Amino acid sequence: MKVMKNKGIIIAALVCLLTACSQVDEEPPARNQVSSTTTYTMPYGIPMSSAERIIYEQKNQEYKDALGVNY
Amino acid sequence: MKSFLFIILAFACFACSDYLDIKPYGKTIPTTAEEFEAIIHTSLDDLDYGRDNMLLGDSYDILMLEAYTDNIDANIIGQSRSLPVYVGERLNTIMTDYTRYYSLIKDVNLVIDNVSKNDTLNKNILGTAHAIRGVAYLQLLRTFSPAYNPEKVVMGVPLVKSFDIEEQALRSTFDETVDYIVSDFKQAIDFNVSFSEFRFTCDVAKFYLARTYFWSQQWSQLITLLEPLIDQYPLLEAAAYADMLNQINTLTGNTLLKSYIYSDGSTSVSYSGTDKMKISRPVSASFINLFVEKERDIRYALSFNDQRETTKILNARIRGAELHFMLAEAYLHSELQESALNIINNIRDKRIEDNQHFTMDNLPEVPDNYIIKHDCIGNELTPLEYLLFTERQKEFFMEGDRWWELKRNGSPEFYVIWTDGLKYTTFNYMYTAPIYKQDVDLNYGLIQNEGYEE
Repeated sequence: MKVMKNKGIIIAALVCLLTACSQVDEEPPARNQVSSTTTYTMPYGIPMSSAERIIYEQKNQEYKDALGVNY
Repeated sequence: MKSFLFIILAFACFACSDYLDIKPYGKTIPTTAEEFEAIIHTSLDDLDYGRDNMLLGDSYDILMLEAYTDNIDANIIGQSRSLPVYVGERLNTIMTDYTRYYSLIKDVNLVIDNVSKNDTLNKNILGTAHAIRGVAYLQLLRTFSPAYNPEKVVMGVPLVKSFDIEEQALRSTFDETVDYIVSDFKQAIDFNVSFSEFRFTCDVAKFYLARTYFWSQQWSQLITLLEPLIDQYPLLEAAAYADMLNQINTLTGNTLLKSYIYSDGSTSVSYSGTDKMKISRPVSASFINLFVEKERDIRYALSFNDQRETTKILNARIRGAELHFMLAEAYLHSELQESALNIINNIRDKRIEDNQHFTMDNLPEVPDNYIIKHDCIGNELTPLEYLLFTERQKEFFMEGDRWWELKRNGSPEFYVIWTDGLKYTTFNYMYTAPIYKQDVDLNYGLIQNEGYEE
């Protein structure tokens, strides 16, 4: 009976030993609502307007003229 | 058996106590002067070898800063996507710099908290530590806080003033951050760092103090600081100027501080990689057209070739010419327009062969398509400001200056149309990077910058 009692204490102590550190990971963050994402979504490109297309093509034409390239 | 039980119980009670300590007590904290000195030299070594990404940056950081300005042109079709199309592509990466700056500040705080002022070496260490912390906070302020606005209370950055890794500081105001930075540079100046191997000498600290006054629009303090200083850093003649800009590993001319003083295998490979990347995006026509004097301006041939490829050597540096530009703008905002114009004419004399001086009566008009519409105090751009800004743009092309000038002067919105035919806009809020998201999520009360809501 005494041996059984000691075994119980040993098991309890071992369980205590093995689980003692788990609290470190269980501490909740201050707001308790941590987002699952770590980045922000930035606006993606949108289709250009007709006026913007004209400027875009001018810039490219100017570049081609300056360098004498043809593509 | 009993003794065995006691050992187990004692072990169970005390075994984990060290894990529950958050502060790294004991061996992890340096204690000797040599160990504190080593912390500083690690940062200095990174700077010397071009591995630094925080204080001056390396060639890649400089190229990235230029990539999303109007100096080079993402609208031209046929270029590879080796550079970001617009700043929005980089903001999540820039956000992670936030933690790196605070990691550096934590290390430097350890030095400042523990090194005594008892001898010349320690004074050099402390002076360097204060300067490094000042530069780190100045970079944090420029990156993560909006540009200064005298009519608004602008948010600064959290101030972590001593070594305490448990501290979760909240954001200070812009003015509080500036005061702290100024205090650091003044202390660095008082320690009068004289050992050149510590890099952040007294004059380097004065340079950064000037940059802090400039960024926070403290014009009278800036004039008082710079008037005696610019005589020590006169503008170079053409040959010496070209030689200075063409040096990769040598600190020459009126350069105060630069990266890549040394080079090893990894840094030279990294450097040559970015040197190739820089030609992947053509120089913008609007920038080239600023060179009215074309080849007579020495910066014309130093900056790009006839294929509109960047030829300027990429290097992170601070140099004396910036002091002249800052002083000119301080005069300009202090009703000393003639003095400002004199400095601009002097700069042009050194850069342009047969330069014709401007007078207040023949200043160039501000063109409608100039991207900056308003100056740093929100006023419409004047011809004198336009002249100053364009000279500055030419002077510091590919030196990482233009992005900060855009931010400081109205943070103008502009767009590029990429090869995919889509329009990417640099919105006003994007000039200020988001505070590190995980810190905002975990630290209740840490306010995120405008525009970055989930």
